[in-house]
Amino acid sequence: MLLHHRRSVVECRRHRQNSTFTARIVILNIAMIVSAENLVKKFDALEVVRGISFSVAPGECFGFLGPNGAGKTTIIRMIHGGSPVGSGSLTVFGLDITSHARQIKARLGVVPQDNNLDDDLSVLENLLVYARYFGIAKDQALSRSLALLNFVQLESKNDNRIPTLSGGMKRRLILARGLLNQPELLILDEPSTGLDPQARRLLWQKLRSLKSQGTTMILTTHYMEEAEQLCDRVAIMDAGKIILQGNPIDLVRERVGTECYEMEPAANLDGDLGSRLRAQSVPFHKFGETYYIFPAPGAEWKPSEFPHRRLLHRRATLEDLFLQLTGKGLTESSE
Amino acid sequence: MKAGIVFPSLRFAMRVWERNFRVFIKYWPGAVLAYFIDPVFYLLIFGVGLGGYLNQMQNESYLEFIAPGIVFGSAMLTVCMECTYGSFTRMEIQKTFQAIITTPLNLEEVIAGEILWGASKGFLVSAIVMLVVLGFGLLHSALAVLIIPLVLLEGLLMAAISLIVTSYASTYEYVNYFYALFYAPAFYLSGIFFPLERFPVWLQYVAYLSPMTPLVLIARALNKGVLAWWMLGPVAWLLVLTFFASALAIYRMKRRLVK
Repeated sequence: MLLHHRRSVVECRRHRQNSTFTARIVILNIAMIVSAENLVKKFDALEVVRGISFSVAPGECFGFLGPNGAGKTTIIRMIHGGSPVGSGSLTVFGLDITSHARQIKARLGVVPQDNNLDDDLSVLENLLVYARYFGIAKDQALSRSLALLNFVQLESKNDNRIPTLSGGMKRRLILARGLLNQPELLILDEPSTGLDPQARRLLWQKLRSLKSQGTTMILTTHYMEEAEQLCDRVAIMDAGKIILQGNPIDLVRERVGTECYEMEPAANLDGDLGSRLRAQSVPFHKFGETYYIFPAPGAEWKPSEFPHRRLLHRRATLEDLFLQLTGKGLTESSE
Repeated sequence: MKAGIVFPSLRFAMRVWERNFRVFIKYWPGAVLAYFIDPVFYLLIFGVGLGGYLNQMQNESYLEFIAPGIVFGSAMLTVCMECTYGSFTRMEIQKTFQAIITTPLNLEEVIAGEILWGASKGFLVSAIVMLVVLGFGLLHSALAVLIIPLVLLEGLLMAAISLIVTSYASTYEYVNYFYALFYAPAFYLSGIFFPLERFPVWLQYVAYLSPMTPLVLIARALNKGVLAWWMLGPVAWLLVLTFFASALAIYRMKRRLVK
């Protein structure tokens, strides 16, 4: 911590000679919850994280967005010390994860991708035993566990065995488990994968309420909607690299606009639609049979006039942005 | 860059032990009943039944001869079951190890906790069997009580060896190789059932490789009221084996689980 601080102060002085603005940014860096520089991770010859840099500010919800195999989970695992850092630097709470894993993990909450609840124990026991790993005293463990079961709406399930819970209940219990040590940073790896829309919305509601209480969060997802609902900033990843970072709503507005037409042209007019769009300089991309068309506000383009089999008018999303950047969908593998 | 291996902290390892203990006490009556019934049948069948056909050996009945071995025979089987099938279930099926290492505990402490827990279960079994053996009137010396701490040491060793095997296991079936190629020879050649001198010489050498043989020799002597300096040799040997087996178990598990 001290070393990190000192280095930053030195950098500050150096920068101050040039510009006070840069100096202020470096000072802010000291208080970053997570800070990664040029992070690399290899499994044998395969480089899964290829030199990424990012930082997460206190109270922020930061999302890693990308298809399976993009390297999201590996980054998450490096942050909580589950996977050794390959090269580059990674600090959490200003401490180096490689040398201070225990201190860092004491202040983290982790919601892993796998439902690794303890099947040998009941719902309440899962929390009590997990609290012991953090050295939380027995009476405090009990009161926190009961309060958290209430928070995730599982208070009537205290004595249930884990296999009797639904998928959504398991995810909520894992969330409660991740909150036992009152973490300063909550890490969620695909928190809502495999949940039905109703269970997913209930989970989002819980995460939003944590966010409003000031909990810093890092999550990975390949659901656009999840990122848009929860994240202040997203890092869009593909094949081990961050290809774009920023506020999800701003990114979409700046890069793809506000609205999208999904159109399947009439059978023999396929090539015709493409050349028409190009002629009118309307941005679009084609994916399978479908044209995704992003007219600028007030553009002349009248899609309904073009002969079509299917037409859908909707607002532009992160999914469109991702398609535009990578030429593929988020649910596809990057391998 | 691989993260180095650190020496596990006992305080943190005991939290894993506590977790396993908590699961155990939920089902303890069945387990304890099994631990109790098993030696009773052992002693009835091998001692009273089969032993009746056997001549007196070394001035004692066959029942008296096998009694000290019985004290830790089923204990060691319990240790190995716990740290192969039990640990494999926690590691691979329930992903319990992976859940624990996101807390302040590290994998070294998880494995140390598993070893301590396996040994503790063996300790419990041997204490129960000791009562049965006492009930059959087969304990001849108060020194026999020293068998129990030795069982704890032997349990640590067998738990560590079992976890090394578990670290290689891809399925439950893999563990069968361990029982066929290691446990069975180690158990049956350890001299529990008859004196090692009955083996051909080459097999006697093999028998001395069994990590259970030193304990059988000491236990049998203790039950005769003998406490001698030579016993320190086998105990030291077991300590050295335990240290290296534990270190290897931790190293192997780290390679398997922390990538």
